[in-house]
Amino acid sequence: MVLIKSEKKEKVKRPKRNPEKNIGKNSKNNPETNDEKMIILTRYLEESAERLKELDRQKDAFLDIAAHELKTPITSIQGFAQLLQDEAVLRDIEKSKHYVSLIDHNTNRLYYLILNMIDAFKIINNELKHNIECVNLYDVFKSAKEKFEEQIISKGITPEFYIEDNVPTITSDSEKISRILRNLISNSINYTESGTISLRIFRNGNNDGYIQFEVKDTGRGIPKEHQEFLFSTFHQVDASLNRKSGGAGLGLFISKGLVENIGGKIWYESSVGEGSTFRFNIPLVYDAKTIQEMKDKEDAHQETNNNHKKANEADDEYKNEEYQINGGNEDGQ
Amino acid sequence: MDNKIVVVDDEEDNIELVRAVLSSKGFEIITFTNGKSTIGYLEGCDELPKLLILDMRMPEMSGIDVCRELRKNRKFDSLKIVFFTASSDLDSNLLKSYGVIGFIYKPFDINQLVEQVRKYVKMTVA
Repeated sequence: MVLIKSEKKEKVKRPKRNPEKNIGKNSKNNPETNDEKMIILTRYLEESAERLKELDRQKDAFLDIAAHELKTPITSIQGFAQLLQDEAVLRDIEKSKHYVSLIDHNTNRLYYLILNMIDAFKIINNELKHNIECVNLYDVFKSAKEKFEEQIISKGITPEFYIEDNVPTITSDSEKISRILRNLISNSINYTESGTISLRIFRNGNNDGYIQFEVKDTGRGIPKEHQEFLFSTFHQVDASLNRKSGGAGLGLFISKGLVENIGGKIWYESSVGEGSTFRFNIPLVYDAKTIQEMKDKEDAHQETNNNHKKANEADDEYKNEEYQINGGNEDGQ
Repeated sequence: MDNKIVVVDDEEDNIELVRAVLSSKGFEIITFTNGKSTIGYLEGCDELPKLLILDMRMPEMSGIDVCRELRKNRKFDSLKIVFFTASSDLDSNLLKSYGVIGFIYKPFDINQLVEQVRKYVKMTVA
C-alpha cells in the first residue's frame, strides 16, 4: 500500500502541452531535426505516463483506506447482530439492548463515513450543492450537544457547550453546519485523552455579519510537520500502517469544503501536548453572489501566487504548470 | 490461567465483540486499546497468554511496531501472535518475519472466529 503524506504530492506535474510547438525554438538558427522532435515527444509521453501513474496510485490509496475504514463499523454491526441470534443472549434483556445500541451506533458511523466519501468526491469535482433555509442555531447547538456530550463524558473528558444569548436566526445550510461540527468534535474526541472539549457558538464582537463556531480541545495537538497538509485529502494516511485517527482522513478536507460552500472560512491553532482549536465562521445571510465574488477573488489570488511560483520555476521556454487533484486550475482556467 | 487470550484493538466496539464471543466459549479475555500498555502488561506477566490477537492499524504504535518490540525480548519467543486486520492485501512474507502465525480478518463470522482462535491456541510454534 503506497500512501500519500502531503498535499504537495497530490499535485501532479502536468506535462507541457503542445510539445511540437516548441520544437526548434531553442535553436532558431539550426534546422529542426527528427531527433530533436523525438526527444521532446518522448519526454512528453514520459511525463504523461508519470502523471497517470501518480493519479492511479492516489486512487488506489484512497480505495484501500476507504475499504479498510468501512470494514470497522461493519465488523461490529455483523458481529453483534450474529450474537443477537443466540437465544441465551436474547434472554438477557439488558445485554440485548446494549448490543442493539452498538449496532445502531455503528450503523450511524457507517452512514457518515459513506456521506463523507461521497462529499469528498463532490468537493473534488466541484459539485457540492446546498440547501439554504432559515437556521435556528439553538437547534443546531442542541443536537450537537445531545450527540456528543455523553460520548465526551464517557471518555473521562469534561464537555463544555456554550451558545451566546440572542444569536439571530440565520439563512444557511443547517445540515452542512451540523456535519462540520460533527467532523470537528469527532476529531477532538479521537485526539483527546483528558481535559476538556468545548463547543462555542457566538457572534463576532464587531458585528461583521458572521457567526463563529469554535471547537477546542486539550488533546495531543497537531505536529508542525502535519499542519501544512491538514486540510488536504487523504491526510491521515502515511507510509506505515499506523492509524492516525478514526475515519478515512477526510474529515478536515470535507469540513473545509463544506464551510467554503456556505461562504465561510475555517482556521485553527494548535500546539503539541496542549491541544487544538478549530474555528470557522459563516455569514448570517447566505448570499450566493457575494460568495461567488469571494471565491473568484480567492481563485485570482491563488492564480497570482501560482503564476509567481511558476515564473520562478520556469525555464527559458516553458512555464511549469501544476495540475491539482483538488480541483481548481485544471487546464489553466 | 490456562485459556488466557490478549486482544488489542483501538476500536472499543470490536474489542467488546471479541470479548463477548470468546468469553462465552471459556476463554479468559484480557484487552488493551493500545500497543504501549499491551507491552507493559506482557513484560510484567508471569505466564504468557495462549494467544495475542493484535490489531494492525492503531494510533501511535501499529501492530507491526508492537510485534517488532516484542520480538526483541527472548521472553516472548514462544508467544503466538495473530494479526487482526481489515486489510486484504497483506504481504504475508513480511509478516512471517515477525513470527506471526496467522490472520483474523475483519469483518468475521463469529463462529469462524471461535474456530480460528481454537486452532491457533492449539497450534505449536516451531
